[in-house]
Amino acid sequence: MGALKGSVTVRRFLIKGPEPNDRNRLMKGIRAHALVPIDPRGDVERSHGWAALEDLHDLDLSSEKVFFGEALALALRVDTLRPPGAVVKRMVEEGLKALGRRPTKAEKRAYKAEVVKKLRLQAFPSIRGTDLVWNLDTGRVLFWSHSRRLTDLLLDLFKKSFGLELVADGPGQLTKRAGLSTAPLAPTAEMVLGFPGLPGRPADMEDADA
Amino acid sequence: MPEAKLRIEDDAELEDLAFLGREFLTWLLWRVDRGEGTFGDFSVSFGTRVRLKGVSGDATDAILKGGAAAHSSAARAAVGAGRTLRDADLRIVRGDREWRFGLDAETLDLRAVKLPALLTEEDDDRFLERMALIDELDGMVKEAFLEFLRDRSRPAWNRSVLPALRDWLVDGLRIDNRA
Repeated sequence: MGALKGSVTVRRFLIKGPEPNDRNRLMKGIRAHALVPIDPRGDVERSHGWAALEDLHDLDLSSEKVFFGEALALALRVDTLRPPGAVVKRMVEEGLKALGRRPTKAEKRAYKAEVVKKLRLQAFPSIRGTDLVWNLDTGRVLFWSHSRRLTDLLLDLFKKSFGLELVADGPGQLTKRAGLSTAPLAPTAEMVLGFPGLPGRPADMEDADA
Repeated sequence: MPEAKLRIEDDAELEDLAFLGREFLTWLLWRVDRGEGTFGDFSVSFGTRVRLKGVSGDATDAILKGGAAAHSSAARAAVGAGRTLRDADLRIVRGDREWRFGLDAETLDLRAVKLPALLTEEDDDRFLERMALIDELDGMVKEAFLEFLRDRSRPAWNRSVLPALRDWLVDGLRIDNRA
């Protein structure tokens, strides 16, 4: 489910600070932070970066794949390459049995690293994409996830790519833009403590009212 | 005509107004239940799920499901006891178009939005139409929120809105208010 089809679950952001109008500059930031696939011969477990909205496997990003009218659309792709823990555990146990004695901690650690290295060459990375659409006209950004972990990745990648911060477009921002002073606004007591005379309001609060 | 670009004030305190979102959704239920769910040219109604929770010392959520979950006496009892709406399934109708979605009160984030049927055929056009429909929904939610803010920031909030809200709760719970 994402920007192109299906139901929509989004978090909304606004750009903090002046927005760049130069699309070439935006493209430069995108290309510099396109996803770099994990090398199974290395030891990186997780990698994230931009991918094409229409095809997560397309990392050769160009203007035609990124700009749709006044919208900049991308996917935040996260790859994870981690052999299944149960398989690693079983293979380590079997391998260490062959020693014929109790292995030292260092031996265990070294053998496990060797098993993981071997299994990484046989495993496929999991690939997940989360859509992002930035309306360059209004400065609004939609991100197709409510996950805190993914949101943190987005905020970091957006800043690195475009030098801009994103701010959640929630009640606080709306209140500020409405021109209302936030200073006198405190939570309504009744919506914290309950309404006087109604069931469920703590008895000591009733006493205080009296 | 494109909407004017938005500017952000660098103000960390703004991040702490989640309570306004909770009060908004609770106020919205009151409005809708009184038959005042129309804002300009669109109307809001509640769907089949609502979640309520208190602010402190309330470890459990009250999740109500069913045809008129938000309008049940259980929902009013929870509000009366100091719980606020945390998220709810909503429906907005504008003309012959309908949006169904979940709204997170504290962030005003949209969840599982079902958009009105698209009119265009081409992929690029469909994408832009979807974005326009999401923007339209976002704009309507904000319009309702701003109406709440106008109520909330006036002295009338304490003088007349809260007493009316209490009367509504009492009516729903069938409590003899004279007692």
